[in-house]
Amino acid sequence: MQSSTIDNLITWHRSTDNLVSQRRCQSPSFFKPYHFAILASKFIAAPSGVVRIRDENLAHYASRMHLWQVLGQPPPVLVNEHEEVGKFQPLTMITSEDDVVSIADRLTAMFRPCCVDKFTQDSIYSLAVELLGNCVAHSQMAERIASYGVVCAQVWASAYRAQIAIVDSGLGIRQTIEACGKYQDRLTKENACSLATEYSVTSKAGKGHSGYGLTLARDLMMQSGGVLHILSGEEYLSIEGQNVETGVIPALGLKGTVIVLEWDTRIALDTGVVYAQWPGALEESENDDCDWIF
Amino acid sequence: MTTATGFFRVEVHSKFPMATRPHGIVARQFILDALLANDGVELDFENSSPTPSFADECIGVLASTLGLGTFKSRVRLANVPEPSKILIKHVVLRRTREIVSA
Repeated sequence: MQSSTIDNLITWHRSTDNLVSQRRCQSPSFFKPYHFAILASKFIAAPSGVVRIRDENLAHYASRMHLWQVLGQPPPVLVNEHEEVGKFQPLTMITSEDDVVSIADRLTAMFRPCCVDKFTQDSIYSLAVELLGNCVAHSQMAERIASYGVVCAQVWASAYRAQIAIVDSGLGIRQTIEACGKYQDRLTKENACSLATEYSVTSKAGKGHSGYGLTLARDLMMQSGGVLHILSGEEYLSIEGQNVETGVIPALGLKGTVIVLEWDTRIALDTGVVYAQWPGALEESENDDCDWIF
Repeated sequence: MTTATGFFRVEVHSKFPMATRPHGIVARQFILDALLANDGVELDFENSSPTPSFADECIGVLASTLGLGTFKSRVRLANVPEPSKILIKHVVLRRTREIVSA
């Protein structure tokens, strides 16, 4: 099974724009969580008629992933709801701070069977809470349907792959960071998506926030050889293992931010290794100073 | 529950979701209230991992509020998983360094 690429996301973003503006687009042959999350976010932002998927199998699958449920539209097919553990997290709207924990709990339970150890499970929980929390902290409620964004996830057990996709209804990373006024110089020269993954960069500096979410996502994916794609406004950051690529796509016209994480479930995700590598890691003497804590 | 040494024991994982900043704020306030009535507080994580935001808001800001010296003498942490030990040391020193450089 091939990893999702940043080009896949950009192509699907454009396709769904066509769906909104011209009422049709080419369906992918294989839906992943990011397909559902991007599609749903477009129809949440702008009412654009009822979504129809001609391929019956895909329509059945999309119904099971709650596409129409999230859009408040009648599904074309009704499907039985089976236990989700070990398979997928259907499209879910993020509507409140309380949703952050409940969705993170469900994601962690869903991924549990494929986690190689308890630390990986804890890492996924932390990752989910931080990214979903960012969504609530930095996004605006979509006007038509009260939602900060949508999330969708899936495990392909036989392919040892997992994916989480989050699309928020915010202003986009650049505008959000610009608004805080602290990073103006750097934003004139740097990619905003990349800047946002830097340790301690936050649009809410001085308001108690520390900018952990995207840094944790970046570092966990780099450590495990996984994938992190961030697409926001006209910019993107794409990390596949140790390969990091940034870019600008003029007139991309994306509102909000798309975040996609994908990793090999046979590899552990270890927040401990990530925390130890963060800037300001403890000097030997400070480590001694802290031994009293535990 | 108060221990023989006057330390109030808090099972953090069962009392608070160790997740978001708002949860961290609630937990920190609870601990500060407990410190008013007890010699100290023992925070038992029972092998549950706090998120970075929770650890920062609850433990990091608590250390900053109390000052590192008082925090050391009045707060104990128990059953913290290894990865979280690194995180907690990190947030405590980061937040207490903020005071020094303020």
